Order: sequence, then structure tokens, then C-alpha cells
Amino acid sequence: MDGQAFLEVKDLVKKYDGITAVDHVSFQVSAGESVGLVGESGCGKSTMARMIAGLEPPTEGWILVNGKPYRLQSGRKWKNDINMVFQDPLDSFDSSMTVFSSLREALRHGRRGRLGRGAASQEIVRALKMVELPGEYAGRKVSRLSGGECQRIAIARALLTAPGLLLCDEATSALDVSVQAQIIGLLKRLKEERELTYLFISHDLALVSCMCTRILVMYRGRLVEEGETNQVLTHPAHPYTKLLADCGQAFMLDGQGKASLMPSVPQNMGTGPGGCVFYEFCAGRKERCGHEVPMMAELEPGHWAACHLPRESYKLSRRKV
Amino acid sequence: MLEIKNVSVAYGDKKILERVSFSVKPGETVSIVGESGSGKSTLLKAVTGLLAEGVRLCEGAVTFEGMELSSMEPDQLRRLRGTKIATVYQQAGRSMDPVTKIGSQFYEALRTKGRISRSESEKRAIACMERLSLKEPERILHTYPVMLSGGTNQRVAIALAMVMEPSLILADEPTSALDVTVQVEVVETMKKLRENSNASILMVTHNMGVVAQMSDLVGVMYKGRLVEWGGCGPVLSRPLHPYTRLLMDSVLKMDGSVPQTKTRYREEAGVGCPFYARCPAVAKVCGIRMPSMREAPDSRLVMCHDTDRG
Repeated sequence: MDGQAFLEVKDLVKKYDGITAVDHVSFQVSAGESVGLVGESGCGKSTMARMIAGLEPPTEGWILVNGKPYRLQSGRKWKNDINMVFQDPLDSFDSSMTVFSSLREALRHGRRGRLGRGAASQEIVRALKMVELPGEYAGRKVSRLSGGECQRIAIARALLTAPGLLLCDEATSALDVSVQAQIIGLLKRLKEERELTYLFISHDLALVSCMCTRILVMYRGRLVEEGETNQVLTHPAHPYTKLLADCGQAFMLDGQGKASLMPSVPQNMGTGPGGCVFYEFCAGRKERCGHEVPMMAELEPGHWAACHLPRESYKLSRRKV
Repeated sequence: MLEIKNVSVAYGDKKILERVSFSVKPGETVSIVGESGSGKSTLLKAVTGLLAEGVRLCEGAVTFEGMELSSMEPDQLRRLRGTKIATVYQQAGRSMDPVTKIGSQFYEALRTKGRISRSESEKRAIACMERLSLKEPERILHTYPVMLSGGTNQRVAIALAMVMEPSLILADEPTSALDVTVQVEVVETMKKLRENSNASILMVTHNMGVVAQMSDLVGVMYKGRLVEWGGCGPVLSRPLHPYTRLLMDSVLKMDGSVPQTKTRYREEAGVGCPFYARCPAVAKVCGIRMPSMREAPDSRLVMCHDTDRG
């Protein structure tokens, strides 16, 4: 990647009581990019989000924003560069507060410091307009809002301090599909208008495929594949990514309203002495995979995967979405 | 087999379900879709008689194999739930007793149907799990629900429902909250259940992919009303009601396309069509008169003035 990355994650490790949730993960996000981080529950993607948002310190490794290392102590400054939208819209607010006071709170912690009520009110109405809500919403109680409205307010709150990067952790997965479609439209529009950088954390490949240009795949704490979204989904290199893409595809509808064939999900074939995280479920595993951890290797420009299997076998598994 | 006729359910003065009617024939799989708050879960509860405190069936009748469930004594209903009607919940692991071994749960369940020995119950449980392609059924019988993954628990719950040989299985979001690879396994299990059992399945879900994988018929609910009803393929590929169209247009694809949905927001009419406030194509009549369920092409039922006119 040319030039300086907006966000750089270097050898990040997070351990909880001896359990490694995130295991030496490195990646970069350039300014203006939309990157998706996908994986199943427990793969460490939310822990990644929390560390990047500055809610939790990493055990090891570095997070750099605009080339400057971030430490938890300077969390306040950080807040201006990276803001987060959470999964549960209601849970991320104090439900007894009005929209105005919730947003003012966020404004107070922003880079501009204290604002008078008038100025704050102007900012808030502007932010509400940005997320396509009328200014009168400022006076409403958060608890009275629908899930979709609440998520719009959460986006407004995250954007109030004009962050460079918006971190969305399953930001649409608790919403009804029709509401999700609206929020996707909104996020797309905001990105174009405000030159935002997105990091989307999600389990939903379809969502990531429509929002992100690049995709990172995590499995059991490790980054296993990285590349341009279309490339990764149509020509997955890592067997786990392939499984994920096949399973996602099984729930996609064709023109007749019929779903595709179901892939067979591999069964646990027993652990190895160490080595690849996907060893237990990998149909094509070799003896080497059991004891040697595969490193990320570039297969094609920008397309990386951590897998020992020879590159030729990926070509055989090429698939169309 | 199961007939829901003009069922209305209310919480206080607020109607949660309004005059919903449809029937499920033996061996059929019917899916009910709709957004949260559309009343689809309430519908399942109305069938089992497990409506929450303060929520009551105020109109209509639920008939199951000729018996009217709505007027049954709670005791009678409970017996029916244990034997003829089985339920698979969203987080099945939580609906099972966490400190009772799976084997004992099968035994408990089978005992309600009549005298059975422990070994006989085990034999039937294993046979059932094998037919659903669950791996290592013997080992599963000797573990507790808490020791199994969410997906395995879900599949065990399906086996538990099947072993009772019920004539109706109700499934409430059986695949939600699971990873996509696990969803594939659970749907596979549900499909096996369909093949191996004569039971009818009534499923509530918001996942259109799951609907397409295993349903014969689909009902679409909006604000407590059934707005479209028909064969799975036709409804999903050529939706007629504007809400169903919105729903299908909102479903994400994996080809990177962004859903193009059109919704309009206007003041609720209060009377008239429940979809009035969000419908992209309203006529004058929509804000005045409630549309009735009409028959449309490919034996579909649609509640929309537009189909009335057409």
C-alpha cells in the first residue's frame, strides 16, 4: 500500500486469562477506504474493534493512526479520529436522555470542546439532517425511537466530532432488512459526501460485499485472508473463506426465489499439535499444517492468505458468485 | 390440519394480530416472514396457547386436527404441546434444562407419550439423531446442553421435537443468532426433519434464504396482518404486495450490489391500508378503506387495493 495508512494495526495481540482472542494481527486501512472485517462469532473481530476504538488496551502490538502510535491514556484525543457505531442501537444510549442531551454529551468530548447551547443546538440539528432526520428529533427521548431511528442517531453522534474513521461493529445486524437497506444507503451517501473511512466489522458477507472494497477474514483470532472484496469472494484462497462464501451463497436467492445448493460443512477431524488454526476442519490439510503456523503470503497483488496449500489448488477452487 | 381462522390478538386495546387466516396441510412447511413487531412470533404463541400475560385472543379460532385450541383447558393444551405439537425455539440451548443430560431430556419427553424404558428411549433418540445426521449421538446423550455449541443444541432440539412424532412442529427463528456455517447445518437438519417426518412445520423467520431453502408456502405479515400468502417461489421471486416487494428488494446479495429500495413516509392514515405510510404507490382509496384479501395469479392471496383494481 502506497503512502501513509490512516489506520495501521501491527502485530496486535489480546489475551484474556491465557486465552488468546487476537493473535498477531496486522493490517492497514488507507484514508477513504471501506474495509470489512469478517469472521464467525468468537473469532476476535469485536475484540479488534474494541481495541481500535480505544476501549481496551492491546496485550501486545501497536495501533497507529496517521502514523502516530496510540496509547489508551490519550483516549480523549483519539476519540476525534475514530468513532464507533455499535450493534444494539438502544444499548449504546442512556435511554432516559433526550436525543439532544445524548448528542451534546458527544459534542462536549469532541475536539471543539465546550460549545454554548445555541452553537451546540445548531451542530446537532445539522447532524440530524445529515442522517435524514428532522430537527425536531432533538427533543425526543431515545427510548421512544425505533431501532432504525436510533441507529441513525448513533451515526449522527459518531459523526459529530468529524472523525476520520467510522468503526461499525455489526451496526445493521439487529435491524430489520428493510431498515438495514436504508442505513446502508445512508452510510454510502455519507461516505461520498464526507470522505469518510469505514471499517465494517460483520459476520455478514453480503453486507460487506455491498459496503466494502477490501475485506479481511479472521478465524480463531488470526487474520487468514485479505484482499479486494470481489476477488476474495469469487476466488477465496483460504479454505475457511471458501467455506464462509459457500455458506453465505446457500442463502442467496436466484430469480425463481429458490436458494442454492447447501455446501457440506466439514466436521472436526481432530486437532494437531499446533499449526494452522483451521487444521481441524480443513479437508485439504497436509501433515505440515498440523505443526507449522502458515504466514500471510501474497498470492496476487493485494490478495494475501495464510495457508500452506500450494497456490495451484486455489485456482482449482475458483468459483463464481 | 392446522387452521387459523380470523384470529385477532390484543394487548389491552392494542391489536397485535388482526384477523389472520390461513391453514397448514399435513406435511407442509409454511414460513411466516415479516419485520420485528409484525406479530409473527405472537402468531406462534397464539397457536400454542402460550400468549404472554395480558395478551388475549379476542377473535377467531385456532383449530388443530379438528380440536379447537382456543377453547381448550390449559391442562389439555399442555398435554397436546408435549405430544402432538413440538416447538423449536430460537436459542434452543436455553429452552432445555441446562443441568439435565440430553439423554434424560429425551427420556422425559418420550415418557409423556407413554411407558418407555430407559434403553428404549435411548435407542429411539439415537435413531432420531442419526436420521438427522448428527455426529456421535451416543456421546451427545451423555452430555449437558451447556457443554454443546449453539448449533449442536439447536440440532438436538430439532431431534427432540422429532422423536415425539408430533403432527405439527413450530419453529421460532430456528437459525437466527447463529454463524452462517452453523445456519447451514441447522437448515440441513430441518430439511432432513422434513424428509423423515410427516409433521407439518410452521416456521417464523426473517431470513429469506432459510425460507427459500425449505418452505412450500410463505405468509408475509405486516403490522399484525397477513398481507400476502402463496407458494414460496412465486412470493419470493415475484412479490405482489408492495411490502413484500420492499422486503425482497432489501435482501442483500453477495455480488456487491446495493439494495435499491423505495419507501415513502407519509402521515399514517389511521384508517385504510396498514402499509399506507410507507407504500411507494398509494391511491386515494388506500387511505380510506382497508383492502381485503383477494386472489391473485398463481393462487396467491394479496391484501392490496392495487391487485383489487388489477
